[in-house]
Amino acid sequence: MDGANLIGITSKRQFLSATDLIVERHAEVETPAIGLKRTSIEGTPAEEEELKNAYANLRRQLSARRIERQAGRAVAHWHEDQQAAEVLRKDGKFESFGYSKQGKLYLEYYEALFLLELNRLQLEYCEMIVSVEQAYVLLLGEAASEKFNNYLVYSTLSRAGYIVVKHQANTTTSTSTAAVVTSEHCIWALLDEALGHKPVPAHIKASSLYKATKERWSEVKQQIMSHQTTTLEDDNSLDFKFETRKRKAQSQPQEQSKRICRDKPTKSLVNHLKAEPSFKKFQEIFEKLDIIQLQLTDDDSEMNKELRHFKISFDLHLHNEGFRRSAPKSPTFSVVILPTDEPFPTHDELLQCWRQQLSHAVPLLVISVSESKQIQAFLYYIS
Amino acid sequence: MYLTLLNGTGYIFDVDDCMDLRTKHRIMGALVGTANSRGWSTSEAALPLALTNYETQLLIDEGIAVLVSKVVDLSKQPDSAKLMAYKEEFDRRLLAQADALKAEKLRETKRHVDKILNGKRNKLLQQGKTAEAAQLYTDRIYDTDSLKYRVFHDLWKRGKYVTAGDAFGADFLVYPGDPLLYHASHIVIVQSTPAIRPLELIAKVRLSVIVNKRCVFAHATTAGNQIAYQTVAWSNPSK
Amino acid sequence: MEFVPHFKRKRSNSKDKIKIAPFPLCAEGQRGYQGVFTGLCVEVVDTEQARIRTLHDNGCYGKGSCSRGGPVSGEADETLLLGLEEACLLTFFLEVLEIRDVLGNVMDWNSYMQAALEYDKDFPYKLAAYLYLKSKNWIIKSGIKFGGDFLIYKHGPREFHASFLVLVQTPAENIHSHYAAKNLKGVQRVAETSDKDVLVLSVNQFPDFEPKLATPTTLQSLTIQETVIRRFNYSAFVQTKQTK
Repeated sequence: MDGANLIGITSKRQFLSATDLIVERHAEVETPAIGLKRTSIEGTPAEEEELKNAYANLRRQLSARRIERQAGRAVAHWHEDQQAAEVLRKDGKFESFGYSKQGKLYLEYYEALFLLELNRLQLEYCEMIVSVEQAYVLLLGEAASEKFNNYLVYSTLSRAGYIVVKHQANTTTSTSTAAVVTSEHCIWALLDEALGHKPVPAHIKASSLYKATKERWSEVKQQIMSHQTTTLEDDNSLDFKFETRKRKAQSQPQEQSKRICRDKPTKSLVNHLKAEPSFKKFQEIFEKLDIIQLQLTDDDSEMNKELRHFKISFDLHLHNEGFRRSAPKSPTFSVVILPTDEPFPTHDELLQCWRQQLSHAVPLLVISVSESKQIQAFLYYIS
Repeated sequence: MYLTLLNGTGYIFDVDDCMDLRTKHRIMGALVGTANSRGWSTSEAALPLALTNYETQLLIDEGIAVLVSKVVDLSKQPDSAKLMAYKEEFDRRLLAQADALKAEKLRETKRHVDKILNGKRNKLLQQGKTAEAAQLYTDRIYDTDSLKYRVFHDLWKRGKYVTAGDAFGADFLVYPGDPLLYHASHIVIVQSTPAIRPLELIAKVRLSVIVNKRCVFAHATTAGNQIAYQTVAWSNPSK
Repeated sequence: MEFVPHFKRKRSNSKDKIKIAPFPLCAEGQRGYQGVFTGLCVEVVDTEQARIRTLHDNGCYGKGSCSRGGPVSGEADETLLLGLEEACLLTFFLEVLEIRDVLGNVMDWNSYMQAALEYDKDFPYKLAAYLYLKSKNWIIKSGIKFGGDFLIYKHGPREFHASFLVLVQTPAENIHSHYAAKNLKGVQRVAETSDKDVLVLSVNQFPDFEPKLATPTTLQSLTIQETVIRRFNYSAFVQTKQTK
C-alpha cells in the first residue's frame, strides 16, 4: 500500500443517540408532490421559495433512517470467498429470495443488498454489522461491472411488482427434460416451428438427428402438399415412429400443417393488409412484385455472421400466479440487460439469445440502463 | 469531499455531500439506492448517489472532490481487540436505548426494546474510532481529451445544469436551473465533425420537437481547442 | 405475446370517400406518364391524357411540387415529384411511366440504376425493402420527416396514421448503426409519440450479390428479416395483471 496516498477520513456522521433513535423509529418520509416544472428562470421570490422547498424535501427524503427492532430483520453472513450471503435467520416472506445449497440458504448479491436497503436484512461481515457503504463495496465492488446495473434492474422491477429471480436456464417443458435429444424431440420442435412460429432450440439443432429428421420432415411436407398418398404408418423409417399415444395428438397438427403449408410459410409481422379487399382485387400485380422473400429462421446463414452474445439475467414472475421457488413455472418474461454502451441486439442476435432458452414460450425483455440510471424496457417482435 | 470508488466511478453516501454537489457545484448524478419506504414505490429515490464517470472526472479536475478506494479497509478482518470493543459499544448502545424507552414510559412489549440503527455509515465509528484509512485513487476515470468530456466541461463552465441525455436519444440535457424545478431547455448531440448526416439531423431535431426542447449540435472548432454549438429549430411553414 | 400493429384512423372531416386503388393503371402497353430524372427525384408533368392527380391518388405516389401532399394546389405548372423507389416501381414493374434524363434520353433499367446509385449508394437495398412492403399492400411514403427511410400506411396518409417507421439495414453498412442505443431510443421515442412502431428491415445478401449490377432477377436473391422494437411499460403491465 502506498503510504503517501493513504488518507484518514473523519466521519461527519454519528450514531443516533438512543433518544433520537426512539423518536425517529416510526418516522415516515412523505414525498410531497412537486408542482409543474418551470421552463425558464425568472428570478421571482416565489421561484426562490419553491427551490428552497424542493431542496428541503430532497434533503428530508435522503435523510430517511433505517431503524428496526433488533429481532425484526433477517440476518445473513457475507462470505467474501463465495460472493454470497448465507442466511442465518429468516424473517417475513422469503419465498422469492435466495437459493439452497447443501442444506443452507444463500442470497445472491443483489438480493442481499435489496433486502438490506429495504431494512429487512442485517448483513454481517466478520461478526460486525455492515453499513450500506460497506455493503456496496463488498457486494458490488470497486471495478466497473455489470453488477451495478443488475442490481438497479433487480431493485426497480421488484419494486414495480414482479418477482425477479435469477434466470433458470433449465426451466423446461415436459418435452425437454431429458438430456438426450431423440428424433421425437426433433419432430416436435419442427412442428412447433411450423405451427407455433417458435424457433428450433439450439440443443435440438445441435443433435445429430436433427438434420436427418428435418430432411424427412421436408419430404413429408412435400408429399402432403402435393397430395401424394404415402401414409406415415407404411413408412418404416424410424424417424417418424411415434408411440401410438402420441400419434393421436400428432394427427391434429398435421391436419393444420396441410392447410398452412399450402400458403407460403410465413412469419412476417406486416402481412395484415393482405386481407384487404384491394389485395384480392390486384392480386396479380401484388404477386408480380413479390420478388424479395422473408428470410426463414431455419436458414442457418446467421451462423456465418459475427454475433454478439447476450446473456439472459433474470426471469420475471407475477405475484398472483403462485410462484414457488421449489417448483418455478414458466416465467412471464426473461430479461436481457443491455451492457453499457452496447448497441441493441439485432434480429439474429436476439434469435440466438432466444434459442438459449429451452422453453421458448417466454418473451424476452431487453432492458437498457442509461447513464442517468433510467431504466427502459423494450419488447422485440421478430420475423 | 470524498467520493467512494465503486463501479469505476465516484459514489456519495452522505446527504450533505449530495446536497452540496447539487446546490454548489451543479452536479446531479443519479440516486441509485433502494428506499425503504412502505409501498415499494418506484419513484422513491435514496442514497447512494452514483456519478457518471465524466462527472467524477470533472469534480477531480476542478479540485472539488477526491476519489478514494475503501476496499482494503472495509474488507479486512478486525483483530480481536477491535471486535471486543465493537461488541461492548454495541451492547452499551442497546442498554442506552432500553433506558431511553423506559424514560419515555412506552408501554410496549419487551421485544420492542431492542432498537438498533442500521445504515451505519461508518464502520470505524462502531469501533470507537473517528477516522478510516482510505487510499487515494489517482487513475483517470474518463478521457479528458475526448470530445464528450470537453463538451460536458464547457457547458458546465458556462453555468448550466447538465445531465446525461442518453435515455432521450441525445448526449446531454441542459437545464436553465436545477432539474428538480426546471425542464431541460436543450438536448445536446456531440458531433465528431461539423458535417451532420441529413437523416440524423432530422431524426434529432424531430426528437427535440416532440420533447419540447431545442436541439444543439456540439463539435470542436477546426482549430480544435474550442467547442462550437449549432442550434437547429424545426420550422413548420403551414403554421 | 402476439404482435398487433397500430392502425390509427385519422379524424377526417371530409366525407368524400375516394375509392383509391393501390396502383395507377394505364391501357395495355401504354406508358402514359412522362418523367424526368433530375438527380434528386423524378419529376412528372401534368397532361390532359395523364393526370398527375390520378397517379398520386391511386397508391399515393409522389408529392406535388407546390403542395405539402398530393398535387392539389391548383397551380397550372404543378408537377409530381416521385421518389427514386416509386419511380422505379412505376417504370420497370408497373410500366406506366417513362423516365428520361435531363438531355431527353429514355432511361433503361441500367442507366436508371447507375443514376440512382449516384444519389444513394444503398439504392438496391432500399428498393428491395420498398418492393417487399409494396407486395404486402402497404402505402409507402418517405420517412425522412421522422428520421427514417419509409413511413408505411394502411390505405394511405389521408385515412390512417402511419403504422410503422421503417429503417432499412443494408448488409454493407456497419450493422450496428440503427441499433446504437442512443439512435434507437431517439427514433423509438419519436415513433411512439405518434403511435407508430419502429420496424427494422435487415436486407441480407449472398456474397456474390453485386449492388452496382443489380437487376430485377438478381434482386430476388436478397432476403429480408423483420424486427419490431417497442418500448414496454413494465409498471403498467404488472399493474393490469394484478388488478385482474
